[in-house]
Amino acid sequence: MEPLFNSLEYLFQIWPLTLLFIGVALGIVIGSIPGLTTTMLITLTLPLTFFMESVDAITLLIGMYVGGISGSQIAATLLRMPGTPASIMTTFDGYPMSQQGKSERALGLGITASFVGGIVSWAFLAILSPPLAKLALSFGPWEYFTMVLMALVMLASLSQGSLVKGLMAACLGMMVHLPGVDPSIGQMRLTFGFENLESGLSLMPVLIGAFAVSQIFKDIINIDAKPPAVSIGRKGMFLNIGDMKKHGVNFLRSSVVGTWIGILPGIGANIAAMLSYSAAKSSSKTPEKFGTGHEAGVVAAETANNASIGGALIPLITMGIPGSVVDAILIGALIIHNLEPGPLLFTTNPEIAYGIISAYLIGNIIMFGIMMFAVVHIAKVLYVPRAYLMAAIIMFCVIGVFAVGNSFFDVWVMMIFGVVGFIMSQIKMPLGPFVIGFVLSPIAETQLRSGLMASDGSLAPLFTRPFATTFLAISVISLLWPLYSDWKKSKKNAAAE
Amino acid sequence: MQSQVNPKFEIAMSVGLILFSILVFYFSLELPEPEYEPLGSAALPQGLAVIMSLLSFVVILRAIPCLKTYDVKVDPNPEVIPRPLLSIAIFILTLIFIGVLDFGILGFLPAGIIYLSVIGYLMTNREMKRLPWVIGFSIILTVSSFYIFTKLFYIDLP
Repeated sequence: MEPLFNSLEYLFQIWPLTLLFIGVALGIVIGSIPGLTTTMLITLTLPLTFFMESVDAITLLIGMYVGGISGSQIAATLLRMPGTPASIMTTFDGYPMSQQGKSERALGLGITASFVGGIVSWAFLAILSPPLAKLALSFGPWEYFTMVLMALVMLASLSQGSLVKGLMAACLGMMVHLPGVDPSIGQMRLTFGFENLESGLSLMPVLIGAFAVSQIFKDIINIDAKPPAVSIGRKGMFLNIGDMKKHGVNFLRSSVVGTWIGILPGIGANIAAMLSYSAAKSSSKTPEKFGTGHEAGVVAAETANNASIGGALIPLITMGIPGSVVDAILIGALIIHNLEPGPLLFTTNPEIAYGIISAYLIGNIIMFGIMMFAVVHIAKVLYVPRAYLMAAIIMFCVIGVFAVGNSFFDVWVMMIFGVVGFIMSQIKMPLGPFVIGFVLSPIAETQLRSGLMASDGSLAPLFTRPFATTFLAISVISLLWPLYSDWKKSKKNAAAE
Repeated sequence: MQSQVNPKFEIAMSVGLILFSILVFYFSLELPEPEYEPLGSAALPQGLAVIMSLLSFVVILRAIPCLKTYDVKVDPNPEVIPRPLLSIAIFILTLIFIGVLDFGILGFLPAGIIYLSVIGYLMTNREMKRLPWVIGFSIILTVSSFYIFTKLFYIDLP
């Protein structure tokens, strides 16, 4: 417990606390604007974190993560436009409540639900992480290889779009990481004669291109869209004891569902909210009210999407495996700061591991405070003229990427991946597996080759080591399950016809 | 079965990825054989190229039957008129801006102010009355970015 208290003590100093506050506030503001995502904000902030201490950098990014997911409910509730995909389910009941003149109540419920979900999942994060990291220390190359494989396959099969396109995106991400020095033996490969490719493609230009640049050019297409005007006050925003009792079971169930979904590699906050909403609906005495402005719907969706953040941080700090796209970027941030994500983090850099845990707790408290007291003002951000916003973001993309390597080659790479990201979104190929494939590719290759060297080229350890076998089995099931359910569905349809 | 995405795009993308995979496979053939370990540097590129090609073939096979049934739906009264040309224009202007900086034609301050003013003007529907605001915004953003990055972060912007 001592390291946790130490990191909490550190966070209460002026500079880290200010950074956390800025992170949460920026996350809420950006998360509330439809089209601008938490992923984009965190990606764009990464270059600035080079100049910070690692703990401070991670603190700032965690703050943005918490703020972004929570802030997205504002536009979802007031305009039926989810700020990020995490709040799609909030639109089902939050917006009808807003239409019925209960905007404040809907936002109050959503903010409180986000806070409760965050705190419960923090408890899981704080309790489960240290023992899980200890367990992960016993993992060898086969366990790591199969775990990465599991993360990629699960993400590909569960992300939006088809399984095939998800797998293609993961393969493409891995292929993009190929040029440069082979991580195992130092052999130069696939540079196609370009000197600039000898050090490989850096994470930043690929990330900023795929997520930020592609999103900007997509948003410019609909730049004339103007949100309808809404006005809100503060009355009715705070919940009383009766409300907490009324929604207590829903809060708890949705927190557990959200945390559990978050732990599974690759499944984001939107799926957590969806499953939690379904669970709340199926266990409700009045399921017909869901979708018409039912309070339980808002509570279920918002509790789960925030709880999924804490859940997703568990595999990140214990094994170095991202639970979502944002987590993949956080892994990138750790790598950029010369830190090795994984179980050793608790031993080599406890201040980072416990810093993440503490920042998540304090971030949630700050989020609750800012949202409750400033949501009325934050809602006005929805009406900031897009032209100025887009111009500023493009400029920051260019400077940010240039700043990382002091190289214009990276800026050109960013533009190329902006086009790649745009094309991928047009053909509904998910970006999540692409990024996670890019980040995890060297880990997968190095671990597989180390494992094969140790076993003299035999694949037998895949079937003799319990954890490796389990991870492999989950990968195979994740791969086959969508095919099986498609086949079952088509058989059912054929029978109906 | 009707694909949500235009099947022509899917086929074009898949063909592009197959060609990319062939390129990766071909260049990885030049890599030396493994000496001290079973797999070698070429295994992953070749494996990924094969998997990518197979998956691309699956997409092509799925898209072909949809070619005849796919119907482009255009909303006759859209709430917002999409502006793809504006997006393309800003993309090209961004490439020019980067090129100008990369080849040292202009420094960051003048290039940034001109670039932001032009794209701001285009994005505000070329309204002359907003132009002074756009130029003011461009100057403030470019100058403040320049000083923040050069003085605070010690990054030499061109």
